[in-house]
Amino acid sequence: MISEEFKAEYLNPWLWGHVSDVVEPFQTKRKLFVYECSSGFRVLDETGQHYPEVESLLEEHAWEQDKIEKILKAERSYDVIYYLTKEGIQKFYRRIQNKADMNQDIDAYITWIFQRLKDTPGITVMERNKKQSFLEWLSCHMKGENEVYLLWLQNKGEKVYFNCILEMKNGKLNLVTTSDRYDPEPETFQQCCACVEEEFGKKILAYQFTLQEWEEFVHAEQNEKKCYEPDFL
Amino acid sequence: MVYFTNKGISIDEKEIPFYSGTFHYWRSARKDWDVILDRIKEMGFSIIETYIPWSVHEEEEGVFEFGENIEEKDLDAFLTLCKEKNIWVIVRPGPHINAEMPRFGYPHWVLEDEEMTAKNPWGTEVVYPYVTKPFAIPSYCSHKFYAKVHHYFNALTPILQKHAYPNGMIVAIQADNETCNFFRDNPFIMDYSQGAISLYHNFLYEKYDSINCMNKKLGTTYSSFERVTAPKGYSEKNYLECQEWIAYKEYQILYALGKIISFIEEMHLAIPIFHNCAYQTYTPISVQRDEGLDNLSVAGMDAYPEPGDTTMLRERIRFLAGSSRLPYVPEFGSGSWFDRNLIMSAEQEEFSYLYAFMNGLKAINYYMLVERNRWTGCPLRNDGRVRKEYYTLFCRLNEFLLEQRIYEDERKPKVLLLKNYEMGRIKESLYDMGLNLLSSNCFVTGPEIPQALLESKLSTEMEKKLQPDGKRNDMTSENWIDEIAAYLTENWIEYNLSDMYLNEQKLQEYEVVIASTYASMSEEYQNLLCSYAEGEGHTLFIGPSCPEWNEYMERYRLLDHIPCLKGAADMRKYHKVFTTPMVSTAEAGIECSLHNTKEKGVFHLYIANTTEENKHFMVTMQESYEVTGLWRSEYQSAGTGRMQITIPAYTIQVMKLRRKESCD
Repeated sequence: MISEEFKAEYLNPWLWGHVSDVVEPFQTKRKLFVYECSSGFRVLDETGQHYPEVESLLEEHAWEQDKIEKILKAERSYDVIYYLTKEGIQKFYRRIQNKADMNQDIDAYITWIFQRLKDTPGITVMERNKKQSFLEWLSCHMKGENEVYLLWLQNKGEKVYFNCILEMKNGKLNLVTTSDRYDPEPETFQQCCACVEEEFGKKILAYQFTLQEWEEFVHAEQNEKKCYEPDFL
Repeated sequence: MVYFTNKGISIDEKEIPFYSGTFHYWRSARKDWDVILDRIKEMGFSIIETYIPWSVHEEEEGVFEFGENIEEKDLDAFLTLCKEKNIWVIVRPGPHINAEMPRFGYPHWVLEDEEMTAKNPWGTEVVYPYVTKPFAIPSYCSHKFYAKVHHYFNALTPILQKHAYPNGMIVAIQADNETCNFFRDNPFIMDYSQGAISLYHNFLYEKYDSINCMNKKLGTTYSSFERVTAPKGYSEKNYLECQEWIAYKEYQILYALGKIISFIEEMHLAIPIFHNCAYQTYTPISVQRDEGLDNLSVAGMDAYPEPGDTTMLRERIRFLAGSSRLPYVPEFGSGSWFDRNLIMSAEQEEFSYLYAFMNGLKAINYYMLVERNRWTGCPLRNDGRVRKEYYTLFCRLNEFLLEQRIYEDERKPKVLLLKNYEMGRIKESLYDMGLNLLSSNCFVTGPEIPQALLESKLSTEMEKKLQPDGKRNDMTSENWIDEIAAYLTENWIEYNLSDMYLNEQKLQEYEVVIASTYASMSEEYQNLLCSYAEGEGHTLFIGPSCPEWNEYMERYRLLDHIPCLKGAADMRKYHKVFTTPMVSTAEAGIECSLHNTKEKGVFHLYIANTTEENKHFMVTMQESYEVTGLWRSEYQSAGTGRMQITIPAYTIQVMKLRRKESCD
C-alpha cells in the first residue's frame, strides 16, 4: 500500500508536530513478555519492569503448560502477552528475515511478521486488546486506486491542530503532505478542500474531526475489530 | 592547504569557524538551487554540506547519471554554482547515507545480491524495516561490496577532483556515515556472513599469532583459527570468546572505515577526511580509535536532541570535548525526519544549539537547512521559501557566533571523568542472543521483543568478577559515573568526559581524573591509569571497585593504592582538590559556564535555565567584572561581583565579562 518512492513534503512543522497524537490511539499499550529459558522464566512488561512474583509462580508450575496459560490469562491488565522460548525466538527471526519476503510493502511486511509470530512453534501470543497498527488501519481504509484524502483535526478551539493530504496512485500511497504546500496556506477546512481539489483536479475525500472525536472514532473502530466507514464522515 | 584545527578549519592558512548546513541538491528543483544558495548565504553561512547518494547516481549497475538526463543529478553543475557563489562545500559520498531514502541510499542491485548482504546468526539476512520498504542490511565485510563501492567512488573522482580545493570549493569529505551496523548495537544480531567470519578469524590471528596462544588465553581447544566459531550469545563457558567477538566487532568497524578512507585517498583530493559517529560512546564505536586511523582527521558525533534536552547533549558534547581533536557535530538536528514523532520549534532549537556551545562544541553542521522529501522544520522550504521563525533564528545565531568569535573561546576544565569502555563490552556480552529491531520510528511498529528479556543469568562467581553495572540495558550510562557527574555539576565543577582510548598526552593535561573501575579491567587500562597517577600534580580517583582481575580473568592488581570512591558521598571527603568555581549560584536547575576569550581577562558567561519555570536568582562571581549582555540579556554593569538574573524557562543567556583590573 505504501509506494517505495512515496513523498512526504511540505509538512507544516507545527501541524506535523502533532502527528504523535494522531497515531496514539493505534498503540497497543500494555504488553507482557514471558521468556522461558534454561534458567527459568523471565517476565517483563513493555517498560522493562520485571515481575519476579509472576516468574516464581511460573517456575512452580513449570511442567504444567495448561496452568501456565491460566496464570498468564489471569493477568487481565495486559492487552497482549507474548510467551517465548529460546528456540521459538530463533525460528521466528530466521523466518522473517528471508530476503524474498522483504519485497513486500512495509505495511504488508509488518502485518506478515505479526502473523509469523503467532504461527511460529515455541511462541504463543495471547491477545486481549491487540490494536490495529496505524499502517494496518490505513491500508484498510485506503481502498480507492487513485483517491486523494484530506484529514483535518481541530483542538481546543484552534482552527487547525493537524492536517494531512494523502494521495493514492495505482493503489499505493504516493504522497503525504499538509496545507503548507499552498501559498498562502489555507486556514480553514473549506479553504484547504478547495486548494486540494484545484491542485489534483478531482473531488477529494475530506474528513474533519476534533481531536477528541478522532480518538473516539479510532477507539470505536478498534473495539469493533473491523474496518467500517462511519456514517458521520 | 586545508586542514582541521582544534577550533575550526584552516583554508589558505586562515582559520575560520566550521559552521555549515545541509542542502540536498538532487532533492530540490534545479531552478531553485540559485535562490536556495542565496538564502543560505543570507543566513550567514559560508559552508554547505551535501551527501552524494550512490542510488541516485548509479541506479542501475554500471550506468552512471550525473545530469545527462535528469538535471537535478548534475553534481558538476551544482558544485560550479557553489563556486560562483563563493560557498565552501563539504561532501559525503557514503556509501551509507540514510537521508530517509529507500534502502538508505544503496542501489537496489547491491542489496539484492546475497554476497553483499549481512547475515543473522541463523543464516538469513538482517532486515531493516524502513517505512519506504524493508531492506536487507549490506555486509561491510563483503569483498564484492567494497569492489562495487570502489567502482562508484572511481566514477565520482573526476568531478570531485575538479571541484576540490584548490581548484574548487570542496574543503572536506566524509568517509561513510554513522558506520555502526545500522544501529544494531548488540553484538549478536549481525554479521555472521562468510566474509564476516573470515574477518573474525583474521582478527584473532593478528591478535594471537598462534592458535595455541589463543587457546591458552581463552581456555578453548580449536585446532586452527579457521575452525573458530562465532559466539551467538553468552554462556559462562564462552564468556571470553564473547569478549573477543565484541572486540572484533570494534575491529570490523575500523576495518570498514579504513577501507572507505583508502578509496577516498585514491581520489587524490587535498582535503581532510572526517567521519560522523552516530550516538554511541560505547562498543563497537570509539571516536578516539576512529581518529587513530591513518588519514582520518576528525571523528565527530551526531546529535538529535529533544525539546529541553540537557542530559544527552551534556554527555555527548563533553565527551567530544574530552575525546576528539575537534568537538564537532556533523549532523545537529535542524528540523526532523517526518516519522520521528516530534519537531522542535525555533526556540527549542535555539536552546539546544547554545547549550551545545556552552558545553564545548566547536564545529557544527545543521542537518538540514533546506527541507526535502521526508524532512521538515527547516529555515527554508524545498523550493527556497523562508520559514520565518527558523530563518530568523539562524540569521541571529550566526551573527552572534561570528561577531563574538565564539569558536576561538576556550572552555578548559581541569577535571576529566573517564567512562569505562570495558564495562560496555561486559554488558553487551551478557545476553542469550541478540534481537534485531523490528520497528523504525512512529509509523513502523513491529512486534518488538525487548532485548532486556534475554539478559543472561550469571553465576555468583561471574557476578563477583564482572560486577555488571546496574544499568544493564542502558549502554550510555553507568550508575557510578552518573552519580559522580551529578556531584560535580551540583558543585559547579566543570568536567569533560572520555574513556580509556583517550590519547595519553591529552589525559596528562588534566589535574584531576575520576575513572570508573570494576573488578575486571584490562592490563592496558590499569597501566594507563597508573601511569597518569604517577604524573606530577595529578590526582586520580577510581570507583566503585578496585580492579582485581585482568581481561582474561587472571589476577592483576595495579591500582590498590589509588583512592577508591564507592559513590558521590565519598567524593565529599576530597572536595578540597577542586578549585573554587569562578561563577556559581544556589538556584536549582541553573547551569553556568565561563569560557576564556582570546582577549586576556575577558570571558563569555553562559547561563542556562534547564527547567520549565522562569527563574529569578543571584549569581555570585569570585571577582568583580564589567558585564555586557550579548544574547537574550540586556544586562549592563560597570563592575560587579553579583548579578541578579531573570531568565525564562529553557533559555540561555550569554554575557561578556571583563575582569575589573583588565578594565582599569
